[in-house]
Amino acid sequence: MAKTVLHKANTRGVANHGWLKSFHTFSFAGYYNPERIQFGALRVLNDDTVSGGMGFGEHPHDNMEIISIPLEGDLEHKDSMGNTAVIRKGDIQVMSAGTGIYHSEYNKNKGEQVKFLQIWVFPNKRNVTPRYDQITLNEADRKNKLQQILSPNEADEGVWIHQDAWFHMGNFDKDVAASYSVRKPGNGVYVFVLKGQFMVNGIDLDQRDGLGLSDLEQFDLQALTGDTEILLMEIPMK
Amino acid sequence: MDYPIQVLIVGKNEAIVLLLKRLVNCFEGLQAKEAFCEQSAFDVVKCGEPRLIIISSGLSEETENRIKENALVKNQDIKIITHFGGGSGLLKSEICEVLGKSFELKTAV
Repeated sequence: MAKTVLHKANTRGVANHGWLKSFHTFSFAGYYNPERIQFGALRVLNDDTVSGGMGFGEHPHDNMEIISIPLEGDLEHKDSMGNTAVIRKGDIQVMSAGTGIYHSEYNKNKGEQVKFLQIWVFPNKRNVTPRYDQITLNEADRKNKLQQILSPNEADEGVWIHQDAWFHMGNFDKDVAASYSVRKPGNGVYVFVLKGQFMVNGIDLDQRDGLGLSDLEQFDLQALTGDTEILLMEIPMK
Repeated sequence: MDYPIQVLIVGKNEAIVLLLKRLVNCFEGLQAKEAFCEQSAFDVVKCGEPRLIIISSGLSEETENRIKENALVKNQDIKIITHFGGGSGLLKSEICEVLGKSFELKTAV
């Protein structure tokens, strides 16, 4: 019997710093909810909106696989490994923080906000050598199907991380259905609706709802509205 | 539990350890010391009374384990956090998790 955990969008933690509004699916910074710590190796799912020209000054990270997915606007990144880059919708960025990395993230445009997801996954090994990567995905490859955007394998489609995790995104027209098969037995899948409404494994989900699924091998999803977008994160549960 | 709770933060990345120290000291009822190597950590445990140890980054698995074992020999009730993330993101949750419901972590004004 599959296990499910439903996180409705309006039950997420909220931090409003004026220049930054962040919704936290799991406990983060000043938001602490012992019932919302993690889903398996998925520890952070932050849904951030940053005002024009504002951002996060230089700050450190270590021992975490950090994935950023821009949803709107341009996000400028600089780090202590010498990387300077701008990521925008259609891109995915990954940092393996390992032994330690410093970076900053700013909204590159003064006149418009930037929206992005920041996702933290526990690594399968502590103190790896820090690394950074970003790629531009072909968004057409996710029209009415699931597109792999992350895996554990360097040679596979999308970026890779130090964890047995697979991420997929899809844009679906109304009533289009798909199924997902778990890549590694025992893994769970956290489903996050970016836009529109879906039915996932028989459960109706609205925009920004999250659904954790575990103890299952496969499940179905269907778009209930048009112009939808969904993110699936398969991660180890132990 | 006696207050303030003495906290030892140990790791090889000095900048991150010092940042964690500053963040811990911002919480009411916590007082942090730092160590950048195994021997310094042993010395702090031997001389001080840390009730909580935060393992930061850069130490080998063997070193992390020796620090944990040494601390538990000194005090089997000592709480040990293997820290992930490197900053304020997970720190409060990690501390709340090990100190339990009886400890309400507030930021000092």
